[in-house]
Amino acid sequence: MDLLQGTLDLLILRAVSTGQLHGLGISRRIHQMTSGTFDVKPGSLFPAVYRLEEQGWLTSTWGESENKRRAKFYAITAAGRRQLQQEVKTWARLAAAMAQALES
Amino acid sequence: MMTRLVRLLSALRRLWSPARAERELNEEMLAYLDLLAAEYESAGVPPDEARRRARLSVGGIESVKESVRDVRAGAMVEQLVSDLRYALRTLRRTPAFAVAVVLTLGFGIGVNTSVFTVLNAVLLAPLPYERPEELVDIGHRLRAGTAMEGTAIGISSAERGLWREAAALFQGAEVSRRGVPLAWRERDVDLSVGALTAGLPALLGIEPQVGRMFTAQEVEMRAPVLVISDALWARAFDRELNVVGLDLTLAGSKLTVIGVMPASFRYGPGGSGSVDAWVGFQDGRDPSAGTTSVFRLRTGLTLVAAQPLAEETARRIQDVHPPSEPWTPVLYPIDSERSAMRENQGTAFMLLLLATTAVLLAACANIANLFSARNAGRRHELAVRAALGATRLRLARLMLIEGIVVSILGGVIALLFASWTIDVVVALMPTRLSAGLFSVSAPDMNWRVLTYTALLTAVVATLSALWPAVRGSGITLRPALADGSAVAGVSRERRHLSATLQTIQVVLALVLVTAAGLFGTSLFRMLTVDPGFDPQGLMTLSIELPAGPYAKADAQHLAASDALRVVRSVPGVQLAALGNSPPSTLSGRFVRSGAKDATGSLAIRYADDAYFTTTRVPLRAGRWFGPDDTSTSMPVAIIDDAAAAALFPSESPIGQRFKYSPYVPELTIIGVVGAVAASDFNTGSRRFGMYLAKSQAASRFHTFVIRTDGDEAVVLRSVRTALETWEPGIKVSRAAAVAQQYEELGTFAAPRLVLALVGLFAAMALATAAVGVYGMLAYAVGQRAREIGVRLALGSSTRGIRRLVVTDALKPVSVGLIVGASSRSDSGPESRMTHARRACCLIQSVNVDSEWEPDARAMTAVTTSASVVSSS
Repeated sequence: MDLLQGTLDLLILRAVSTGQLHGLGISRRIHQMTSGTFDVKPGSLFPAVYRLEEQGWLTSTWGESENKRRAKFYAITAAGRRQLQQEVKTWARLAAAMAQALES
Repeated sequence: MMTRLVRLLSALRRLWSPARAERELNEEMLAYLDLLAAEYESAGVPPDEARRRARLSVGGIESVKESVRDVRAGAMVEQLVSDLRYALRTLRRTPAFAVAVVLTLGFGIGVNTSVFTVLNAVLLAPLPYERPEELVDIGHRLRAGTAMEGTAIGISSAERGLWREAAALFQGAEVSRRGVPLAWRERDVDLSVGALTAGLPALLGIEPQVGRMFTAQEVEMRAPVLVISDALWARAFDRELNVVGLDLTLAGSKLTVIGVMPASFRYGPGGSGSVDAWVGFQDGRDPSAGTTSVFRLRTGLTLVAAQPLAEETARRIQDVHPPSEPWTPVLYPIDSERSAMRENQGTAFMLLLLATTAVLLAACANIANLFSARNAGRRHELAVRAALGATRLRLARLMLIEGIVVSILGGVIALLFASWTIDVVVALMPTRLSAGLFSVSAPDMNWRVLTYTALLTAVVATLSALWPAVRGSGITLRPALADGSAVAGVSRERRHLSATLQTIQVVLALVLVTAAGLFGTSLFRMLTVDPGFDPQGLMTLSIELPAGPYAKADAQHLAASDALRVVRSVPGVQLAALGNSPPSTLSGRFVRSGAKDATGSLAIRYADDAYFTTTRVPLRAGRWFGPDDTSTSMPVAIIDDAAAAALFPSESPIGQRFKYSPYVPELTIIGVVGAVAASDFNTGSRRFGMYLAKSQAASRFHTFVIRTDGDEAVVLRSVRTALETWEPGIKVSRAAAVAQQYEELGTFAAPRLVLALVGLFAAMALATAAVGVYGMLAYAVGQRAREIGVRLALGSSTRGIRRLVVTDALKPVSVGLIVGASSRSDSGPESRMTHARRACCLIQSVNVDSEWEPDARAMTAVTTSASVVSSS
């Protein structure tokens, strides 16, 4: 299923909000969180991750993966958390509004 | 705020070490692949298959990297730098292409810049004074509203004083007097010395660049001081600062230089005529001949608002000084000379600018064509870049940047070229012309010119790079990657467009070449034309008799014949006569006896009985002036045969009577002589020659025409010495060879200049057309390489292919030639022959140059295709 514009950023922030992840990890986490509805390809994942890092919402460090491979890990920053809360609220309002609109 | 700082830092870091950012990006991608492969492996897939699947799922690492690069902060700058580097590398790889494009643009922009520089100096540059719109002069309008309405320019010093008191109107009024030649003893040359009131520079808002201006007290006391012009400072003193305090001996009196005026004051406050130095002017005491007033209106007062105030003041003035004829005041802006020039020559300059712009536009189109042709050859490379993840925008930008790079290089060449051409053009101009044209401002490359060039360069860059960029970036991957050349060749409408462009260019080039040819022919005819007299060995010299002993007419006539005897006695002088040098004439209007209106303009010269034998002007009818034509006999005149044919088409002019001015008695025509070329015969104004008897006009001024078979300079010097010995009080001036006078008047220099310019444009248009044909052909051959290969494989001969390519190229060229050659409808059969010959030269030059190379390309295509055919 295709992602709505802007929802990818929200999903990435949500994915790393519980702990740092590398690129593939973020992709897998989103897959798991959405019960397989969204499968984020590297072609959209990495530009988004880089953009979020440029915004100051993610930081990255080089570390070791579960199978001892050197990889780049992303963690959420304080600003990222604030942004996440903000976007969650916006999303909730949007979802409620959409639901109401579609029900009536 | 914070995030912006973070972005900026990360951008800076990456610009600082781009390699590290790239390395990390690469490693991250590899890690992703490894981790994904590991996932597949743990699910039981064999290692090799796991890696393959991982790669498939990622779908092109390079493409992912490219999209990451696009979002990074500073990505624009980063890509710009890399595109710039890439563009420079590409251009370096094809130096011939780069040089051709840069030079074409450089010349195109350069010619535009030079024309604009001249236009700017002549028409646009404001007078270099403070608030020049406030500066005016006053004239008297007489007999307003009647048929005899006229305006007298120049006011008396008493009247000026009254105007100056009109404080509601003017802030101040000052005076300048035009230059008179004074002998400068130390350098043995004449200096043109004008005069100024002490307050004039302050009124204009300028001050001496070195030293100081003389004070009102110094002028009052007639202190022996003067200020010099910037031109004289540069010419005679090498801009040495110690010129201040130097003594010059001018016309026998010693004067001290106290200041140097700025360059903007070269030619006096609004008029023309160069002045080398200025002395003090005492308004009211010094003679007012040749003076000009400069008034400064009160700030904020417009000419229209000032007019009623001026009329009121004028009434008061006329109450105080009752005039012989009532008048109303006219306020002129002192820039009015230039306003007239703007009207007369503005259109010509604009047309010139348009013509050069047209050539430049054609050049742009060509360069767009060349870029397209080259991009066609780069399809494969571009396709590879697209496959690696470059977006269409990115590719377009890459090509756009190439266009911008060559345009900027072209702009730099243009500035160099323009500064050089302006020097050449100004040097080619006769001094009188350039002094008139550039009386306000020298043709400098100032900020206005630089802005114009920059704008032009930007437009050129856009025009020449945008279209190929848009076209070239839209690449369909599969066919481009598959073989790099389209099967179908060039689209029909694209070929039409190209061909039309070509035709227009060939027409343009041919018209310009034809114009250059015609100019050349007429210039040649002008230089070889019979001038109507024999200029070989003919010289002229003027004298002014001192006023004291020669105040009476009898004494003047006697002195004239004495002086003529002295001149004739000088060794080396073959013949001598009294009368004007052929190029220097007076103006008059021909009004027949009894007629009301003038029927022609006259160029008037004085002549005595020996004048026509000395100048070798032939007699056609009637008689020459003789000893019986005296101040007491009937006033007589001689006209030239052109005048006789035009003014008396059906009767003999001999015995007819006319006036050349309302203030002179009627003259009777006694003879007709051959016409002499006037100095202005290239300007189109038609003036008929008319001669007055020198013996009937008394004057203290006399001009001689002298013929020698010896060295002109030597004989002139001896004549001068002999005359000065005969009467030490006389002033000798304007001693020169007549041929040299024509040269100085610019009779031939102006057409030579036009010829040079038109020739230059023609050469440019020709080069442009050649480049255009080349570009189109190269493109077409590139596009049709495969078709040519197929034709060859099917048995076409090399000659056949060549014929195919050349015929296609010749079509637009020949249409252009036909249109261009018929552009002059009034040409006779022989001149059509000349056209035909020129057209042939054009065909040869364009086609031989441009077709050789594409032919070579066609043949390469042939060999390549042949090898493909044989191997499959």
